[in-house]
Amino acid sequence: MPTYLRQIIIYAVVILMQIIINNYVNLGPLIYVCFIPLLIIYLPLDQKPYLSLIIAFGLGLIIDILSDGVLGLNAGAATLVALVYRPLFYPVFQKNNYSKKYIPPVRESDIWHHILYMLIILAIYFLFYITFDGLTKTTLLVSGLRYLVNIAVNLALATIIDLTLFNR
Amino acid sequence: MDYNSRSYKQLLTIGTFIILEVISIIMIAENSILQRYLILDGIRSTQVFFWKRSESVRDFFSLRAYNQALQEENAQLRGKLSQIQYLQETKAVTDSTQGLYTWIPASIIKNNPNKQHNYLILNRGAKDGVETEMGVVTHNSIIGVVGAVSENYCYVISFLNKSQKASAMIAGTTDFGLLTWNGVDGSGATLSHVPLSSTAAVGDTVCTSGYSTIYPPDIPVGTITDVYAVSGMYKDMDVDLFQDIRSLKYVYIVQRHHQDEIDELSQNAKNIK
Repeated sequence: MPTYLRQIIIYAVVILMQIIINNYVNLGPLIYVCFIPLLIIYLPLDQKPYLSLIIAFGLGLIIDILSDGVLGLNAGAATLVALVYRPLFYPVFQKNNYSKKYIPPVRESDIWHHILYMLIILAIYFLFYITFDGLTKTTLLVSGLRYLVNIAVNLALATIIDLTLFNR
Repeated sequence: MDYNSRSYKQLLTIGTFIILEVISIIMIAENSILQRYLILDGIRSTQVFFWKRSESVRDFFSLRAYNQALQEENAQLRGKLSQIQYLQETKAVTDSTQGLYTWIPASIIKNNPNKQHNYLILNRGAKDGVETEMGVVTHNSIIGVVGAVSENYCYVISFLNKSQKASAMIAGTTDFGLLTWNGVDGSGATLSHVPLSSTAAVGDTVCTSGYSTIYPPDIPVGTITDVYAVSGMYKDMDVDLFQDIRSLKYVYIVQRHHQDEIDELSQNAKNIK
């Protein structure tokens, strides 16, 4: 199967998983499961940056429309991540991976590089998401708690999906 | 201009980023979930078909809890009925608020109680007399406010939204404040801006005040679990809500009579100022 076709199928499966989890699994009001950052870091590194931005915006908008939330929240957060995922790749991964077209698989790099990269990306994503989701309406403590809990939960879930779907 | 130059590419990237972020922020600011509901009304009618079926499965496994809740409510209503009958017989009915509200029973088609922006879809619409801005309650909780109405269904902005506020008071007193969801769990709320002179204590019951035209008075909603002074100006109280909205199936939409008259009066009062 061609790489791009495989990637499209994986993206569709991951988006479907996110919609099902958010619409049918009760995780409480604090936790928001989001796999969009994982999808963005697997966009081609040699792609034109503005294309990555548009794809990320589209992915976010799809989730906004199909999940029950505020329109524009995921789209905005995803666009921000699409802007920084490429510049952040180079400091996190080894120099011998600079010429890669995609983020290197775990067997070629290191699981800790993947986790660190995902942690930074999630931190940026949820900074936008939680700030615009109502920082002024909630106390700083609740927002801070949401921020930390969501990074922890999504890092764990993203690592599992990274290892099972993207690194098979 | 050299379209292959590095500065052109950077400019294109930054320009695209700014445009997309501005679009996102405008959408966030302009598109509340209510507006999104209106935009996606067509999609919703299809979704309602599936929600009804998934809710039916949920109902089947929750029948025992529903029956118990209905029995408790029945018992309370019977008690109130006997009180009214007694008062009518003794010609002692002097409460001018009697008959001020119509209660429209409704069942929940879609309940989404596990996020920061929650909503419900009820099986009552314009043909049943439902209008926007009507309150939705049960015998022991406030559920939300009708935000949009179609022919057969209505969309309720749940009380479990940080933007939702309800006027509430401590039962047996005249101390009142604003009740808002705490945003952390489905049964937690905060009663804020209660006068510092209030003697409310942990364990006291909080009920609706009736000072707004949305919710009727004296619906018990929860008990106080903590009381603390804020800025030396007023008191805030943590409230444990009686009803877990996630387990709800049946609710009442409350229609206040003379609403137009009250609105007109309020408008006239503003004009006098």
